[in-house]
Amino acid sequence: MPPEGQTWQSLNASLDVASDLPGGLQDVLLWDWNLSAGRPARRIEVRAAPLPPLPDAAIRQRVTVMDTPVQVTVLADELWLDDTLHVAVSADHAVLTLGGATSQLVLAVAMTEAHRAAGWLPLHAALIGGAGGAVALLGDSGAGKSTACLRLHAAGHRILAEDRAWLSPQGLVTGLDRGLRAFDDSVAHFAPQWAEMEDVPRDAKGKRILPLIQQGVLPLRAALLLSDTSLPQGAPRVALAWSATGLPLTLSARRAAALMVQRFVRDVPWQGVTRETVLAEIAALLSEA
Amino acid sequence: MWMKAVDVLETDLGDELVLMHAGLSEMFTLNSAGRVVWQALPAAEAQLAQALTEVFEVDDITAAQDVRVLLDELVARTLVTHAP
Repeated sequence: MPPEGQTWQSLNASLDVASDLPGGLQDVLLWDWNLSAGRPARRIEVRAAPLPPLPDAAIRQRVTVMDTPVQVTVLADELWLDDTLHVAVSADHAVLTLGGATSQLVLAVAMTEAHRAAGWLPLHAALIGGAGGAVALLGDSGAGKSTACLRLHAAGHRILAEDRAWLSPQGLVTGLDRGLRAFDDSVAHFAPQWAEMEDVPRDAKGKRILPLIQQGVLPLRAALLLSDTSLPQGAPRVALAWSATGLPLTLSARRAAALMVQRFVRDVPWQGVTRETVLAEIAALLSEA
Repeated sequence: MWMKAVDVLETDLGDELVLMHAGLSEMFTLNSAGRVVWQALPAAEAQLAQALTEVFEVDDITAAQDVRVLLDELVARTLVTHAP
């Protein structure tokens, strides 16, 4: 890292960021990934440099991330993403090399892979915290997680994450969201004090980003699925868990994620909730924790 | 020699073992006999049949047939690979 670079913390990793990253990506890392969870126990380096050459033995594939195709080349614990970013991961060290016009999405894939290799499991889930722990609220896009978060916040609960939750190998959860995103109609219904404020930022979909997230690291007490259908059991629940976390790409990340998914499915109590029952069920669970 | 494919993600639920091919996102569930065979990998086909006879009260011919059927299914789903 050049001497003028920055050192931040991302989850429990020291995040060493060079100052000469292309396209303002230093600011992206600062905003999206500079959130700590415990003492730093490993290291992630992000630097700008020519990418290592693609080996002949590598497997090239095209994957879709957030509705966007990404060219992925994998060789054991190395990834080349869109031919603009190379990442080499292990449990305690990851090096991201940016070699060109790297997109925010590709950077997010690489950072996610670095954390996965260290045993952290990302979850598309909201996190609601109480005195003794947190519950994860899962559900398909559009199931109502964000609105539930608004309602829960209005009811006095602590929202740790709206969509970017992380489960640690020790069973702790934390969030990487900076704000709670919601459409205007939900804000008007459940957080009317924010409805008239003009200076609240919006995301790409036009949702308001409300500063209602409270950082924290808590033990995960339960996983709730917000859905009108019954809670799946056995293999379908495994499929649901993989859908909620996304598929890892490197060898170390796959091994670590498989173990974490197994713990998440087997060791965490699961429960189904609907839009009508979610508030009462979460209040009951958090009062027991 | 039969081996687990590198793209397989395993989830052990206790009473069943769930396999998922990471590239294809397809799930496949193994029962208790399938788990014994899977956990004996990497191994030759005869060794897999022997692993079954050591755990279950099954004769050699039946064990060999069961292993063949299972391997055919695992091959069809690209969950195992074979090296001579």
